[in-house]
Amino acid sequence: MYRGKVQGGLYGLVIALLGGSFGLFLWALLRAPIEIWDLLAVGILGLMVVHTWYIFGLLLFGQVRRRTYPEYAEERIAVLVPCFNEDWPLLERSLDSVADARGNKEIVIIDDGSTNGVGQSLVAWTEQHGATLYSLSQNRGKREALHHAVKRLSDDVQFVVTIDSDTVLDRNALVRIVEPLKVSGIAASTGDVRLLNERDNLLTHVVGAYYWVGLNIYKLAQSAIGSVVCCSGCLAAYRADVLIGLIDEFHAQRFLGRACTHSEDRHLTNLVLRGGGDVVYVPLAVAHTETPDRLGAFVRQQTRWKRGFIRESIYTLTHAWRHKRMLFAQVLLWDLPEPFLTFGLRLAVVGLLVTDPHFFLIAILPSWILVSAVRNVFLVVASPKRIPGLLGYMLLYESLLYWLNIWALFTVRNSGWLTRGAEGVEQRLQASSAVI
Amino acid sequence: MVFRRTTWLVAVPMLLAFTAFAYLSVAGTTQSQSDALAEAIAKEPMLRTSAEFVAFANDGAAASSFKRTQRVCAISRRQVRRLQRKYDVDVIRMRVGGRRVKVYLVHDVDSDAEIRRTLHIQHKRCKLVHRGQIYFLPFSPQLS
Repeated sequence: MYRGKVQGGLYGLVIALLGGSFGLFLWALLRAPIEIWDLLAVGILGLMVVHTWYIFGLLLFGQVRRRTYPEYAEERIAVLVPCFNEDWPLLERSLDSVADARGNKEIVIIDDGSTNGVGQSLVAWTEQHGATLYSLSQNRGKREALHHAVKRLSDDVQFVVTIDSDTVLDRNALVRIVEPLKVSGIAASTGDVRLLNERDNLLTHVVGAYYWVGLNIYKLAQSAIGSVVCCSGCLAAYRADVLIGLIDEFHAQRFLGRACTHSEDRHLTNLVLRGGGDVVYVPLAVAHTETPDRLGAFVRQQTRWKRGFIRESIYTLTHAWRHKRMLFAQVLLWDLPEPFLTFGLRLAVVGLLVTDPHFFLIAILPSWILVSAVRNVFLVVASPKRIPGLLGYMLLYESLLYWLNIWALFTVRNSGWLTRGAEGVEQRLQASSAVI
Repeated sequence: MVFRRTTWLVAVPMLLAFTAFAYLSVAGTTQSQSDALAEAIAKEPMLRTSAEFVAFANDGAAASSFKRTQRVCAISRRQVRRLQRKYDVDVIRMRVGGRRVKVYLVHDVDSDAEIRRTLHIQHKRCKLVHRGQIYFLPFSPQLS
């Protein structure tokens, strides 16, 4: 109850921040003292410089003080694969990669009420590979599927790995991702996710750069202080005792009075961080997945992720000041406010694009590219073939994806997955919550 | 992922350059409008006790948050009245070189030529005032 009220208050503050930024924009239109406008721009620039130093510093710290992990010694791993209406060839490819991966594993498949006839193929596959199959009668979402499987884990399981139903694992992915969990204090880990379809078209090329930066700059930096904010649903590992201890709370998550469905990976990570456990990124644990190759599907995915980002950033602020103070400062001073604080300025830039496109092209755009190049210099030097993708992402973000943050803020309680066949999940969950 | 030494050799100078650029932007931007105008007026060769001053932006984007180019000219009271009939004018008072002067800030000037015609100063050189300008976009795509 207390945490719910705090979350509601923080959500209100974020809305107020956005309103303040918008108000400043309107005031500027009415010829406000120009110094106030400058002050906002300068303030954001100052925060950006501090944040850039912070990220670079964490990367350097992580590199100088590299963690080494004990070797895997055949500990029991449960690999959970929830699936819903996945095409059988994709699902089979994923399951085969799990079966081929090294490690003393138990494969647990949760068919979350598929209606596309994949059930029979799943039964045949599980019999052939000695896996466990739970077939749920109704589609209730990945959170429910994970809860169902974790409640039924065997006693000898020490680590739990969760993957998506389209994830293809490298042969060493399982053993590499669980090795950090043998170190006391580390409770969860996530791996490197590479795109199978990065070269398919312009969009997937752009998303490839986005993934590279997200993993090899931000997750790597956060890992240096054991505070990775999201163990990707594609490939994540948890210590079984930790996961079992928090699975009921995970299952019952509500935000602003409504049951939550999406962004379950981010919340699970948040719960681990709240307990004081470290969460690390393991670049040697490699999995492959596919990204949406059409803009509409990508935008739907991003909308969902941005809702999750807002909800979980707020959640992080309710606990991180206790055990993860650097993470708390990072989320409080940059991650959460930045998109909303800059709203007014971005509107001003849209205006400038109309009133003075020449100035935009000769002064603003180059500086914009320069700032992005500096902040992502590790991609520029270490993976130069992705520079066009980074520029493309920058343009896509400023023209489209940024504005989804604003939409997501006002629709943050919406639990819809925005994907085919999943519309009924939210209704069923809300109905079951009401019964409870 | 371990970044090679060459990556750091590029990354660290870029970070330092970015910081210096930001510092200079902040230092320039925090100069107030009054200070910038006073500085320009002090250098104005036609400074007279009786002169009024006018400051106007002629870059067509006076409302932009990124451009701060104005011109300052010494004008007479009659010219001030002409301005006030045609434009939205604010007055600021400041002390320059021990003298109190009035500066009329003219808004919504469509072009340099237009205001010069109004003031009958087509051929007069006006002092350019450059204030700290934010030639950057303090945005960065969310990539985490």
